[in-house]
Parts: sequence; C-alpha cells; structure tokens
Amino acid sequence: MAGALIVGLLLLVALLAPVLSPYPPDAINYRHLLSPPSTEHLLGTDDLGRDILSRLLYGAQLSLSAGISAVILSVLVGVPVGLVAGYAGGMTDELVMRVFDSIIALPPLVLALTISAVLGPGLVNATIAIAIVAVPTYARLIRGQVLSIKNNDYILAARSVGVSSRAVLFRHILPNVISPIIVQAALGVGFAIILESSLSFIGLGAQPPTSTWGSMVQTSFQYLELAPWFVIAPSVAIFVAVLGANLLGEGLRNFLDPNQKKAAQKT
Amino acid sequence: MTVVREYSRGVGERGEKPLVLRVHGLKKHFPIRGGVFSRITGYVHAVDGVSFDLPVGETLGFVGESGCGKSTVGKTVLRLLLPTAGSVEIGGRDVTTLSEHALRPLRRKMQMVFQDPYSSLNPRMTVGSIVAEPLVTHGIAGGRELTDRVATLFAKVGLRPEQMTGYPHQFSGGQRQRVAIARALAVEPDLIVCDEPVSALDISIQAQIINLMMDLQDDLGLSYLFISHDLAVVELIADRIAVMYLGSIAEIGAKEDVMRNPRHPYTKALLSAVPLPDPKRKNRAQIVLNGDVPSPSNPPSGCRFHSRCHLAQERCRVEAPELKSGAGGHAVACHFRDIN
Amino acid sequence: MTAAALKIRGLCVQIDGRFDVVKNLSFSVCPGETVCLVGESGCGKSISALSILRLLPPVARSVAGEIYFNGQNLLGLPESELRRIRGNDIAMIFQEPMSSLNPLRTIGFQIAEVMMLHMGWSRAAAWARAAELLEIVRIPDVPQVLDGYPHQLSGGMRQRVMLAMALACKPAVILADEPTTALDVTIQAQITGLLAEMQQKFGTAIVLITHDMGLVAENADRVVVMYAGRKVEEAPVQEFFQHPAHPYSRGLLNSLPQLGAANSCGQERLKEIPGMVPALGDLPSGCPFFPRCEHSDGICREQFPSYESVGIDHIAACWHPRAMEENQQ
Repeated sequence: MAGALIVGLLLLVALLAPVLSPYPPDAINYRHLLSPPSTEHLLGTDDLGRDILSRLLYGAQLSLSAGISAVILSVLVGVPVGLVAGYAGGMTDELVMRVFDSIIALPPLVLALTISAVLGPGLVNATIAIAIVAVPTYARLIRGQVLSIKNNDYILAARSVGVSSRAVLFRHILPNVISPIIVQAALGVGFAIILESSLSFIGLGAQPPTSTWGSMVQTSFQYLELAPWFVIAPSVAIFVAVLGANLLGEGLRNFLDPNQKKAAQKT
Repeated sequence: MTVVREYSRGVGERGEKPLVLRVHGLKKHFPIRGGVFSRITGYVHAVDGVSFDLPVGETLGFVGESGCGKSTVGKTVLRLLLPTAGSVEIGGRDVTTLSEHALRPLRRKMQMVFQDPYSSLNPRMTVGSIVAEPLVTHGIAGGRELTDRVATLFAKVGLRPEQMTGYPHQFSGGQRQRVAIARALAVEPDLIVCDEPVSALDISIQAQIINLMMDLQDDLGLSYLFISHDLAVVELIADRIAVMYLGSIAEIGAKEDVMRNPRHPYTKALLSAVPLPDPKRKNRAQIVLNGDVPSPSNPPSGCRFHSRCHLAQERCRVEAPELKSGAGGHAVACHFRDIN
Repeated sequence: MTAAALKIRGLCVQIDGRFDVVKNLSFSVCPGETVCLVGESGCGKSISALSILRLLPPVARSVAGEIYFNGQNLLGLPESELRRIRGNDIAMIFQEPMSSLNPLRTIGFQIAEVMMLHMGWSRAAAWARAAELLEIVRIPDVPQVLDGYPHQLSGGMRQRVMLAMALACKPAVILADEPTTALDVTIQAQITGLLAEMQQKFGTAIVLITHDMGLVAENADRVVVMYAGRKVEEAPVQEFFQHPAHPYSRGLLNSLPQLGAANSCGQERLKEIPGMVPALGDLPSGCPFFPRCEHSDGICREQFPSYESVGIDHIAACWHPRAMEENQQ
C-alpha cells in the first residue's frame, strides 16, 4: 500500500524533525539570503537565510498535526450527530440535516475563511475552522449508512431483547458503519492540509515565526522568480502529503469494503 | 387506560390453559408520505383489526401471501412497532401502552426469530457474544457463569460450544439460524415470534430447524407465533392456524379444521395452489385465483377478498363479513361460510 | 423418441480455475418436454443454465463438455453467433424479474426490442406483436402496461412480462431459473399454468430449475437431481417420486413436510438429512454425499460411482442403490 507508506514516512519525518534537521528552523543567517540548493543547504535558504529543509521538516509537524486534528475534531462531532440523526429520524433528523445542507451549500474555502476571520488568525483557529467545514461530510456519510442498516434484522433483534438505544447505537450500528468513515477521514486529512495551506497562504493560518507548509508557500510566493526552489519545496511537500492521504484512503476503502472481502471469500 | 378485563388474569375463555398472548382488535397503519413537506397522503392498512389468543405451550400459525400483514402482526405483538389501535396482552398485561422502559422486563418473556439468518446476526460480533447479549442486557449472568450459560445454549440448539468465538460469516445458513434461536432462548422466554424462520433455508436444512424448534417446544413449554407462507410447514408445526388476507384474518381455527375443512374461499384457493410433491395428484382440481392481491393502501370495500373471489356477490362489495366463530373455535369471515 | 432440442454432454464448469461447480453434467430435453433441475443452493443448477447461454459470471468458466443445440455445439460458437441464439432460439427467465428488466425503459420497448433485434422487425410490427404477447400472458390493460415502467407492476405481472419477452421469438428452449420463487403461491399457480399452456401451444422445451419438489411433481416430465455439482439421479417424474434411487433424493423427499398430512395426535418429526452441503473448497473425495449418507462405506469415500440404470430411463450414481430399497422393505 503506497498510501500507508507515504503517510507513515511523512509522520516519521515529522516526528524526527529535531533529529533530521541540519539547522534550527528559525536560525537566521543574513549571509545566505535566498541561496539556491547547495551541499550546505540541501533545499536552499529562504528570505531570512533560514534553511528550507529544516523549516520543511518542522513545518511537517504543524501541517500534519493541523490536518489530522481537524479531521479528528470533525469526526468526533460529525459521527455522533449523524449516528443519532439517522437512528432517531423524524424531526431531529430533518433539523440536523437541513443545517448541514446549508453548511455544505457554501464553498468550503469561503466558509473556512469566514470562520477563521471571525475566530482570528492562528493555527488553532484555522484548524477549528477546517473541522467545522468538514463536520457535515462525516455526519451525512454516517447518517446514510445508519439509514441503510438500521432496518436490518439484527438491530430489530437487539431491540426485541430490550437492549437500550445507546447500546444499539454503539454496539450494533457504529461498528457496522465505521469503515466508510475511516476511509473518508484518510481522504479528509488531505483536504484539511490543502485547506490549512490555503488559509495560511491568505495569512489566516500559522503566524510567523512558526510556519506550516502553507505559510511557507505564502512567503515564498513573492520570490517566485528570484528563488523558485523556495516555492517548489513546500508545494511538493503538500502535494506528496495530499497524495499519500488520498492513496491511503483508497487503499483503506478496498481493504475495508465488505463486498470485496465477501467476493474474495466466495471465489 | 383500559379497564382490566375479566380474562386479563391470564385465563382464556376456553378455560383450560392460561394464555401467553391475547391480541384484540389490533391495527397497524403506516403513513404514506409524499409531496414537498412529507405530508401524509394516505395510510397502508397493514393490519386492520386482528384478534386472537395463544394458550401456553401452543403454536399459532399465521399464513398468507406477501403483504397480508402477517409479519406486521408479529412485530407489533413484540412492540417493535407501535400499534395504531387495539391491545396486546402478554401474560395478562397490556403492553401497547407501556413505555419502552417499563417494557424492558417484559421483553424477557417474548423473543423473535427472523427469516433471514444473514441479516439477523450482527456481522461484527462473535456468535458467542450475540447469544450472550440478552443475558448481559437483563443482568441474568456475567463472567464465568455467562460463558457456561452460552455454552449450554449452544449445545441445546445443536452447535458446539467451541464455535462461540466464530463470526457469523463463518457459519452456514442453518447454523446461523441455530444461533438466532439460541439468542431467542437465552432469556428463557414464554413466547417466541418466528417470522418465516425456515423459508431462507435449503430443504434438507429446513427439516433440521423445524425439528429443533419442535423439540425445544416440547422441552421448554414454549409458545410460538409461527409466521410463514409455507402451508405445509405451518400445518406440521402449528396447533391452530390463522389465514390472513390484506390485513385481516379470513379464517382461524384448529389446524385440522382449517386444512381439512377450509370454509373461506381464499383458504381453499391458497391450499389448492400449493404444488404437491406427488405427480399422481397433478391433475387435481385447482382453484386459480385471478389477478393480484390489491394494494393495502387502498383495500377493496366490503369483503376485502371480493375482487378475487369466485363467490362474490353484491353484498360482498358493500358489507364486510364478520369473523364468526363456529364449532371448536373455527371462525370464518365470509358471508357464504355455510354454503361452501 | 424425438431428437433432443438441447443436449448437454459432460459439462464441467470451474470457478477461479480451481473449484468444480459443475462436474460432468449430461442431460437433454426434447421439444414439448419439461426437465427439472433440482437441488439445493450451491449445487450448480443455476450455473449450468447460465453456461448454456454462456452468461456465466467472469470468475466461472466452462472447461469441458458440449452443449448441442440444432446440431451445433454452443460452447464452440463465436460470441456473435451465440448472441443470435440468446433470446431468439433459447430464452431465459430469471428468479427476480425486477433486476432483469431495465427500469428506465417502457415495458413495450423492452419486449419490442427483442423482436427488432432478432427478427429485424419494424418498430410498428414489433409493438403490435408486443401487445399481442401481453394478451397471451393475460396481462390486463395491455395499452397501459406497454407504456408503463417495470416498477409500476407487481412481481407476478413482471414475471408475466418476462414470460412475454421470452416467448417473443418463439424460442425452441426456455431456461427458467426459479421463475416463481419470489412469488406468492396463488401467483405462482398462474405463472406455471401459463408456462405449461405456452409449452403445449408452441412445443417449447423447458428446463425448469427449482428447489421446490411440489413444482417438480406438477411440472416436470423428467427430473435431474444435482448435489455438489454432480448429477446424482435422473428419472421420469412418476418413477422419481415413487422409487427415488439415490439416498440424497430420498432424503430430500422424506424431509418435506406434506400438506394435508396433519394428524390430530400431536406433532411428527420430519426425517432430516444430517450435516450440511459441503463447501465448494472442500468437497470430499469420492461420492460428495458420503459424509451425510447412512449407507456409505469404504468405496463411497474413494470413488464417485458411475451412472447405473436402476429402472426404465432411470439412472443414479450410487454404490448402494439397492441397499436403500431393502431398507425400505
């Protein structure tokens, strides 16, 4: 599984950033402003003479953790809400879903922008904004799954035994609807990284001197002609991370899909 | 609040045996929603006034074609569906008005076995924990005792206790149905509603499960509400049989009466339509009904069967026949019950 | 005896190139005759029918045998020629009519399409014939149904439409795979009645696949019993029900609850066949039925028995067909 490999490597690199980085990420060196890649600075230096490789490695920590925690946050909110809405049905369901529909109707970037503008710039707020944008996706996905299995006989059987609604939800429904959520979450990390980069690019994400890949692209953009390596490095990092997350999602989908598993067993 | 009726102490009219279940005037209408704001545009009259009682240790078979409401009767009896009207008394207590919470202890008395053993078992739970769940839910057993109880249940339904750790997909249809039966037996219920429990199984497995169910009834004194479209199976296992058509009972009585001496034209047609595994009787006179079962959202006026009945007359179109009881509790809902 | 309309010899079908789902199956069906393929799920009866028209799912493949229709071996024909036979000379009816009809096309179009395709009829002629066919299968309100869509019809009506489609080109052979299993008994009686009537009118040969012994008794001329991919017995219908020779056939017949057998003196146990159908992956060697058979001995474990004649037109693959009868007496 290429996706798992890429994501695993990225996580490892992020974790080992202090060990792997040749320089401190914020060590300013005025003698090497915007110097091209060399043996000294493998990916060159930025406008303040900081080593881009080191910043990239430390940026991985922030970018990845922002992406992952945004997804965790939205799953933690979206899954229970979708679960309850789907199982309860009726007015609860109508209400929750109409609210989520109206969130989905807005373009994600515009919405994230508005929310982080209201909350104020900063990586934490950006992460919260991204999480809010993604909540309806998970809620809707899980609601659809719940609707498709809630009339299965084993749910009825559990109810006829007298199992409480909460136990039905968490013991019988959740384990049977969670695999598409896992897939979606993996794909969602990629989406969150892009959104975070976009917010940082606009200046609503990580604030200097801390930097994520997105904010690195932002600063580098002014030197596009002067120092192309400066913009290429974080862009490639974002690209690889998103690609890895998507591949991981696809891989998980194939791995978790019960139909494919069944087909494999039958033959 | 309904007044306590004279029979609600659990003794039937026939007096001898106490009743495990008494159903009176049961109705279940499902709303049909349509339009922009999901307005209710009509009702499906799935069950429309059904009354019967079931003495302890007996089996009442419900037969009828798809859409006649027999499964809905079963689910409403177990309060998996809320009845629109009527009463369901389990062991003398009306369960239709109880809250879900108040109902929980009563759920121990009634259980269900479903048709499709592939969808009735949670694919993510081991079969052992599926059977254990009712015991845990009702706080009947825990720890070591729980495992022992589940093992005993497994043995009772013809499974090996070592199989407890397996997942449903590792079992065949017949074995899964055994697991479902073990789950139903776990809480030692008085009543088991069996909704087409053998129709999804192969013939050779069907016989095994029917035998198992009959043995369990003998050993444990269970009462069954046995819902099936297969008349031969119902005839074998039931003491009394109710024939349903479009939400109401067309004929009900002891199985010998209903099978040997059917009085309702629908029962007769149903019986004669069943292909018999005997080529010598191939050319027997068969009543072939015309047309389809009408939609339960718009049932025919008067007698619901009149649109397909060869005896139908003007009166049938206007007036719905009563389910009138005759000798031995053999009741028929037909204006011409005595003529044919 | 007339020449067979369809003749299958030594058919073998494998899944994944490893598991034999059908092994060495031979039978034939004559014009105007109904042959029932009987067996439980997984015995290979449906797969056999699908392999006749080469409609097998991608994992399955016919690896040996011949299927003769009109003197040509269907298994050797190129796809283009087989397409001319499908629906034209050999028609198939499936269990679930809803999934075999296109939900987005009108009923009329779907029936007419068959004739426009196979017989090169004009649109008008095909539609007129479609209306006629719906009359034949006794659909009320033909003009309305012609312009209607599958979801507007009941299960019984849909199966009638399927039957009308099957009859469109007056096929010589109809393969009916559990055509009434999804239907209620009263509707089933209508459909089987119709099928028999059509057969008499057009002399169609019918292969009826079912697990319902009642349907077999009432519709078959000959019975082919399959178990774990093998034919284990073949007999004329009367003979089969009176003297089933294979222990499996006998077990099946005995395990059926009989309608009208109710006795007031309490319940009677059914005779059950112990054990269960073996999984494809681990078929026992020798006779596949031996683990469940009360008469099995050493030889049953080792070798699949040859087909021996046990009566007129009656063959069975069992090492001990006589032991059964002695036991009965």
